[in-house]
Amino acid sequence: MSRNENVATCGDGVGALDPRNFSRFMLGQGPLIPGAFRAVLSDVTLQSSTQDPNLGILPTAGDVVAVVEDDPTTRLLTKSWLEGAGYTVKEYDSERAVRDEHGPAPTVACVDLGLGEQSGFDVMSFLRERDPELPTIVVTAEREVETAVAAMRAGAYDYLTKPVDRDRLLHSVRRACERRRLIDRVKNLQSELGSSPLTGNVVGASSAMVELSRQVERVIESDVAVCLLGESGTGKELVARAIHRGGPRRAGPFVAINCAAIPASLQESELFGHERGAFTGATQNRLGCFERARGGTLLLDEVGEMSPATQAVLLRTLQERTVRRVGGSQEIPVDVRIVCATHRDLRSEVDAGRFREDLYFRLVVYPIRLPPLRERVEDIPLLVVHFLEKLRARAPHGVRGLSAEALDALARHPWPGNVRELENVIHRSVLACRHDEIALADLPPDLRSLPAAPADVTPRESHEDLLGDDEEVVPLRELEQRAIRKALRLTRGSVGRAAKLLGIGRATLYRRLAELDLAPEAVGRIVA
Amino acid sequence: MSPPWGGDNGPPSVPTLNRGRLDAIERDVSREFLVELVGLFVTDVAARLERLSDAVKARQTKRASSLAHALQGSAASLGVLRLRAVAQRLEELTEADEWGASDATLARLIDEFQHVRQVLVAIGSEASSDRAAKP
Repeated sequence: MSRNENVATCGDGVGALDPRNFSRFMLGQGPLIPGAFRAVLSDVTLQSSTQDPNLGILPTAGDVVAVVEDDPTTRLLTKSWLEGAGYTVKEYDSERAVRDEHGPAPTVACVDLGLGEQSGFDVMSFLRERDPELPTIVVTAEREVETAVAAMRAGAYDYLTKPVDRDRLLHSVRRACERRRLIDRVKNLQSELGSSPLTGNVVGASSAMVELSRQVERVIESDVAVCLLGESGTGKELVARAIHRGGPRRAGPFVAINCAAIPASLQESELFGHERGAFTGATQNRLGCFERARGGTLLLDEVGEMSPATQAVLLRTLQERTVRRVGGSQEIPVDVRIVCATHRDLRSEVDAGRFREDLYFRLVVYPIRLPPLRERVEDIPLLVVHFLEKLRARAPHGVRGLSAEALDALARHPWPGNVRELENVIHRSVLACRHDEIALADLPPDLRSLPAAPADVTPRESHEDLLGDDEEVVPLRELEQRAIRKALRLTRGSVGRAAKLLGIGRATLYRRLAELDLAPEAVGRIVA
Repeated sequence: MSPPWGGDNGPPSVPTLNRGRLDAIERDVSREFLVELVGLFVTDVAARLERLSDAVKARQTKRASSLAHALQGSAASLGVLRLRAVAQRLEELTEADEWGASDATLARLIDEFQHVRQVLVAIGSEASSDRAAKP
């Protein structure tokens, strides 16, 4: 029976009132009869913590908090507060009780560092040995801040001082649970990606990235000419590196040249090398990219920017599989895998006469399209975690994540600069952030001001016109596609809200999008 | 030698209870729960005081200071301020092996506990009155 039910049942129990028994016990003259005390003071209205607007997001069903505390009063109080907020609580009064536990791991642990004559540090170490990702909130006496600092250094997520404040406790536990869920999600997505050739090179687990991974897998073992098509900042070079590292040439060099960054007059020399004296300033022989990439992979980035003269020489090189340095006469054999990349529509460039058609057919044997970030916004949380870790490796910072509002703002942004732009935004936000969580206010101004998707769409609106007219029977698959399209349209592509309208989980919606071949273009813009 | 907080030499500036803390617990959970919590506190502290007395009598420095320390945490949770302050003083004295002062402060702690019980009874009676006054 819940505490609420207890109260409702006992509220009318006037006959059970026995203040004398209460006084006798309090004065040490009689035993404690809990039932009697409940009856004495049962006329209460519970103020459920879950209704407290200051406490923000409710816990997810299944969030379990382990409370390790030897003082029964503090333990009962902590337990009651947490249960009132919707958490399941497992209580332990000693290190031994924790060690004897063989059930499922908790989501978060609250550990009293002053566990009698035992050390709360031992409990913390034990819990973290069993579950390295377990966020642990330590509780210390007010005058033991040094101990709390030591615990934070030992990996504690947060610390609270006694007497513990209820709102501070619930706030810390809520954030620890959110962090835990994010870590779990990242791990799940990483395991879903499994041994993908992109693992370790490219971050993402959306259906678009899974498809990209499949395509890369198809070409990785062969020398087929791959052309990576994608907007600036989508990670073309990273995918090229993944192709190199995953293929048989991984022991050889990976050389990348950005054709757009080299003046037309120098492109030939950069690609094919030159002999001493070939032109003014050529004081010594120089190897070109082809020779430097021998036995490995050469990425011709922004190949659409190559000059017509260089295109002609490149075509000959690909046909003959030899290079002739500028100013030289010797044909030098080169064994190189070519991967090219461009943000342009090369076919249109051919049609416009700016790119050689014969070279196009040589280079674009297997085109792979890289999705822009706006088509895979569900990868944003993963990317954020990745960039926070990357920044931490460069310079330690205390940012552990970002708020739900900030994440929403990132999901609404169109990301013209793609992943590179997101990395830049996270870097700036970390510098602006004064707490352990990036808030909406820490984001650059242009991201803060984007309008939110409407929150007041009712299920009724999204169910209209789905079934067709009276004479029409819509196949179930089609019906489902229509419902998903409509829900996404009504929610301006918000997967979370669309899933809610459809009465399914967000993950299920992503899966159904993939299974029903509902490409992002088909359903419009999608936001996480 | 540090002065003990025995007899009349207590910490007069510290109130017995932080009533706001008790009210907040009642408001956040329920009055019924508060009474249950107070009952648990009294039972637990009574038992701890017995162990603490034994440790002080046996001049067991580590055990006595650890028990006095634990008692503070318990008192802090419920907002029993003066008991907490006296327990803190006893912890300091036992840690310093000042057993004469420890004996006196222990006696002060036991007195304070009896006083706290009386105060909590009064609060319980308030609750009873409220209950009885309810139509």
